[in-house]
Amino acid sequence: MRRFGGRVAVAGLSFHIERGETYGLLGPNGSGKTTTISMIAGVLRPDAGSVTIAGVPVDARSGRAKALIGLVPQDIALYEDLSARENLRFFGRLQGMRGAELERRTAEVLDIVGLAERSRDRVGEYSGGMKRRANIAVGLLHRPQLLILDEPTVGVDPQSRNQILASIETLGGEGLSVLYTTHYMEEAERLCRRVGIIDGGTMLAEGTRRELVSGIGEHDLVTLTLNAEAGAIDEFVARCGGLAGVSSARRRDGVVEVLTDAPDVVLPAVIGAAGGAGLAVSSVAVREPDLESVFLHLTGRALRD
Amino acid sequence: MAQLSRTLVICALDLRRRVRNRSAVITAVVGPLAMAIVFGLLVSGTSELTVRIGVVDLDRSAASMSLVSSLLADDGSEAADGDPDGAAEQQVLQFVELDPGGAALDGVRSAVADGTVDAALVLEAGFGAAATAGGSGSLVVVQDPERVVSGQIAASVAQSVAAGYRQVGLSVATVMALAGTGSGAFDEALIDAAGAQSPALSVQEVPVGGRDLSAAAFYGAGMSILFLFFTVGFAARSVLAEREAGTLDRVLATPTTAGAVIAGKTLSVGVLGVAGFVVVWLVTSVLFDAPWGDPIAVSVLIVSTVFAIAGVATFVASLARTERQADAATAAVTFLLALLGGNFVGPNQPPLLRRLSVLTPNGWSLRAFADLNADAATLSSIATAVSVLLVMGAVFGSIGVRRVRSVMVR
Repeated sequence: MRRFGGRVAVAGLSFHIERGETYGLLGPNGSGKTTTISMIAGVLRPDAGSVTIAGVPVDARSGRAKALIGLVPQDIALYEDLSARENLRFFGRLQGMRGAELERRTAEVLDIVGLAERSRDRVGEYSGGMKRRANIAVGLLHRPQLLILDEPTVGVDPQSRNQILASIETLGGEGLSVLYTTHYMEEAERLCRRVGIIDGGTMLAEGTRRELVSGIGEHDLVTLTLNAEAGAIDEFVARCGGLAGVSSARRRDGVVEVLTDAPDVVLPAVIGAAGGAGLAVSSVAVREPDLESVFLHLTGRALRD
Repeated sequence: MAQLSRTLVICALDLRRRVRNRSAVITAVVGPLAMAIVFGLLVSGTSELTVRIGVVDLDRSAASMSLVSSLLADDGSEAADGDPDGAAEQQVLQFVELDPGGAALDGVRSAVADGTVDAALVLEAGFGAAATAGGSGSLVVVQDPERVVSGQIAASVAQSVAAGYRQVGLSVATVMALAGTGSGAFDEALIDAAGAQSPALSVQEVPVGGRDLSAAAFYGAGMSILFLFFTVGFAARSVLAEREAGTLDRVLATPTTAGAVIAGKTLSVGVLGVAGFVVVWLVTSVLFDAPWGDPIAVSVLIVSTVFAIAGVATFVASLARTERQADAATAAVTFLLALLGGNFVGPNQPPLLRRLSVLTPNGWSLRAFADLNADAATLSSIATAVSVLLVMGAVFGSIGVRRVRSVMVR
């Protein structure tokens, strides 16, 4: 548990990560993800509770536990006036690495993140994606047992994002435990065996994707793409929410998503409502709900709200 | 041992980054050196240290009044070298008569303490009688232990007076003995007449060493101290900057403790501060032949000054929440302390400024540098200034470090 002044940022949060597992912590901005990983990394002291890494308790002074953790913060935490290689050497020395071992491992992680050729350039001269990859390289350098990645793809172009996600998949396959926080449902679904859904600093649900989806009942997701303005779509969403058999409805970009346990009844009703409102429906789909739907079901809000 | 190693790693990183972006070279060396040269040229190479010595006559005898008159008439004026017309005549010594009122010695001490005079000579009751009995009378020197040069001048004047009276007394006794009137007590009028002829009170004979203060040395020290606030204040400011940049949390996520981070950053600015000071010292010594004084004492004073300024600057920066706030606070405090401490006004400060300067590390350091610069002080005679600087650094530094640490360990 952790408070900031009178505000409780995290409370009643408990989970464990298996060796070699990639665990996702899914929640919207401000849900307590970064506070949680700061406590796990020993940067922030919990007001109550404890964190243990491979049997070693973590606190601000625990060098032994910290040596087991590789932290990749959400923001680029590198010295931009130094090269990637110089950054790696500095953080490596703080981890107790020296000499040939440090040089060898520096070269390895630069290869892993695809920055070997630009390793002597200053980080300030890198693109956003390259900075993200250098940021990850520092977390991997000392061969941690647990790699903590705090929203590592925020603000990254699609190509770099794919590269980062592929690197993480590879690392997970090599037996490294990964704690991955994100508010991108599709990233959590792609990378994580298990996911914890967090909001308001508390764990709402935890499990595999299948477990979480089944936890909201035998629901299906009806999606409609409308050719209409946002205001008209919002009015339509409100009307859908009142239809019989609809658990929840929302607009996500230009698409209306309706969660229901009776799609055969709801689908014609929704299309009828759209026609009645003078809205042209360009596509319709019915599919199994995803983690976004689970979050919507649990909180009544979208992950990116 | 592991934390010491990390301290050195952090120190090396900070040094590398600051040297690479040239900020260290500018704030630690180029800035103070340029300012010292400009100030040095403006005041034409050297400046005289004017010492005001108060004279208090508690005896009011003919002998004491004669001595006071003699001192007041001879104010130590001398023509500057190479100025045969005396157009640049400057007063090295000024004697002023003090009226301490009923408080006598306490009043004199107050006048010295508050800077009204730099030191005082007190002719106590019985001075004239003792002189007529063949002695030199009771002559008390009141001095501020922190104003080494002034105290030594006053003591030298007193010794000169005593020596003069001994010579006069012997001469008069000899004359009276030869005249067959030796009554065991000297004729007071004769002593006065002889004393008035005595050259023993001439301040030109005062052996106080070189009096010229090198402007390049004085302003070299003054400007180095001024820029030190920016050089050594960087330690606390960089903690705030790194917190904002996220690198601080990343460092603390390694097995590095907050104490090692603070120590590493403090060590790096300490190295820069001392190195910058030493460069200014060497350059002004070589280029301007500026005499800074005893090298060992100067070295000790530089280190203790850097320590004191580091403590104050860390405290100031620790009051801020962001690097920008810390920069603004450091600049404001730097110029306030520079004004109060006398960095801009030279060695002859007005009494009020002299009193206020003891509240600042600049004031203590500059006064000690001026004493060393005047070739009159040694390591032992600046011991009080060094001690005060170390205490200031320790007190402000410990509070500042505690506050900075609270930013790091959340």
